[in-house]
Amino acid sequence: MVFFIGVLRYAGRDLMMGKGKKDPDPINISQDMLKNDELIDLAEIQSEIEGHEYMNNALTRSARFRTNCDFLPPDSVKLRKAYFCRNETGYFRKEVANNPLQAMMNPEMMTGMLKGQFFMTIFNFGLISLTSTFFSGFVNAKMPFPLAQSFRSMLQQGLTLSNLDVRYVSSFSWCILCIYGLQGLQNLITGTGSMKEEMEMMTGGMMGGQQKGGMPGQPKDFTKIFKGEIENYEILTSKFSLEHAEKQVLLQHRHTKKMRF
Amino acid sequence: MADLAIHPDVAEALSIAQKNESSENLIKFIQKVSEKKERSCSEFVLDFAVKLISEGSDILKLENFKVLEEAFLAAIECKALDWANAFLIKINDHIPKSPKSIRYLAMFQEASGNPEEAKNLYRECIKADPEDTAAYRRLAAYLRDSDLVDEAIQTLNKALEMDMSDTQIWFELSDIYLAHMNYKQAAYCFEEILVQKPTNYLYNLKYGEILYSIGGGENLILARKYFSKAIALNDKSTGSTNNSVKAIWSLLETCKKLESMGRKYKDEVNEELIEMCKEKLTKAYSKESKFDIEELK
Repeated sequence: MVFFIGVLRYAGRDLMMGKGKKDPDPINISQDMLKNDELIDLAEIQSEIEGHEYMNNALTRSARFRTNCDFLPPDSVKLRKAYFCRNETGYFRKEVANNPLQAMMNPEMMTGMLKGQFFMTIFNFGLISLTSTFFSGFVNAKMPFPLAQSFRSMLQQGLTLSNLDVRYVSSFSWCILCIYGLQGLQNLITGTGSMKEEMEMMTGGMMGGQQKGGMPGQPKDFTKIFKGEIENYEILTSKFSLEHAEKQVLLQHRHTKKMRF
Repeated sequence: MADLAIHPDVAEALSIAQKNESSENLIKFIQKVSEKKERSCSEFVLDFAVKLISEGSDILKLENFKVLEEAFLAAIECKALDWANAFLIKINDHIPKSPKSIRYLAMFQEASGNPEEAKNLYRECIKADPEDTAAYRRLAAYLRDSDLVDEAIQTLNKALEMDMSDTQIWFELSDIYLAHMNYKQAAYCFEEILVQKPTNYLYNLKYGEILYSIGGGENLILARKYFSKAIALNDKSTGSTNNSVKAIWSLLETCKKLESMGRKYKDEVNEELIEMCKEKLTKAYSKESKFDIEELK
């Protein structure tokens, strides 16, 4: 019975989550767009939303420049510095709006998870209260092996007979055992393992998310990263490394000449 | 000898493949070409690919996709349009209507003399995915080829907005500017390349040349520094003192020009450098030098 209710719960949850959960495949979209000219504008928006890849690229360029800026003449360094962090018009000064789609998706995901969690608790709570009111005092299973006294609280919840053998299981305990014991089988049947994933997401996402500073699906806050990059530029000290290049060559030349004689 | 220009790994694979024309060796060679992005042995690639097909080898299968790609590019380069068409159909079977296959189709159109068609296809690729820098590059190359330089520069700028860290685009842009004698812009673009690999002697040499072309005393002094750096780097890496003849000549030119520019730019280093360049050049062209011109022919 518990199992059937579990399946029912799965179906109910599916209904509640709706079809909005399905993510469109980005590659498919771009293919479809090629076929249909009317949708081309949409495609542009789509890929703008899809990621701030080009900002990452700008960051790569800036980082590369910062590591090797000693090899450029001082004027060029100043030029680039100005390009990246000039007041108000610099590349890293601009405010980057957070990704609208992802920002929208995130609460949806959250509510979806909450819905699932909500359903689970309601069903379990209902089931447990049902058994404890209607079947309290029933003994409906017997373990085929003897057990120690300490298992009494686990197996004979709802019974107050202290002389009863621990091998007998009360209906209330049986219900709880079934709910948790049959979870794996149920996941197998419904074919998703979604419950387990959800549990992991709930526990892992909450715990790990705080450590990493953001859920895995959360978009990067480029405004913040850009601010950090500007600070990097403020402390950047570049010393033109080719200042004495001529002397170096001459020295090398003299050295080789000496070696020869 | 044409082999001089080929990457040594590719050349090795080529000689093995030529000695023993088993399909394994041939495939290995083509894979090597694709890995090293070697563009100067398309004839061999096409030849081997045709051989592989006539032997009934399975290069048309998905696991040999890279070989197929390389064969298609080689066929286009050799103007073997029938083969190119055959390969393209096969590629399209594997990845139907993907951005890549569409780009290849556009390249095929370009090769077979339908540039307008190709242009439209590239535009469509870009519209579908504004971050597809490969399509931008092809489009820019086509535009440049048909003398629409301004449009080509615009396209490349657009591509750079999408991917600022793409050195190839910076290179192409600097090349266009150089070809149209816009040296300051070219220098800006080339700085991006130099920053990526400041120890490459050719980059230092070329940047020095651009600075020399801009002209003016300050730039000439900078150019002198970069030529010196190039010579130092090359001497260090090759172990010989007179391999970088081009850099030495450039340095000599720069120093002489600085000397003629009056007292302001005249210093001791300049004279010493001229002295050094002369010594190095006489060494390079003397008979005892290892640098043998006959060998290069």
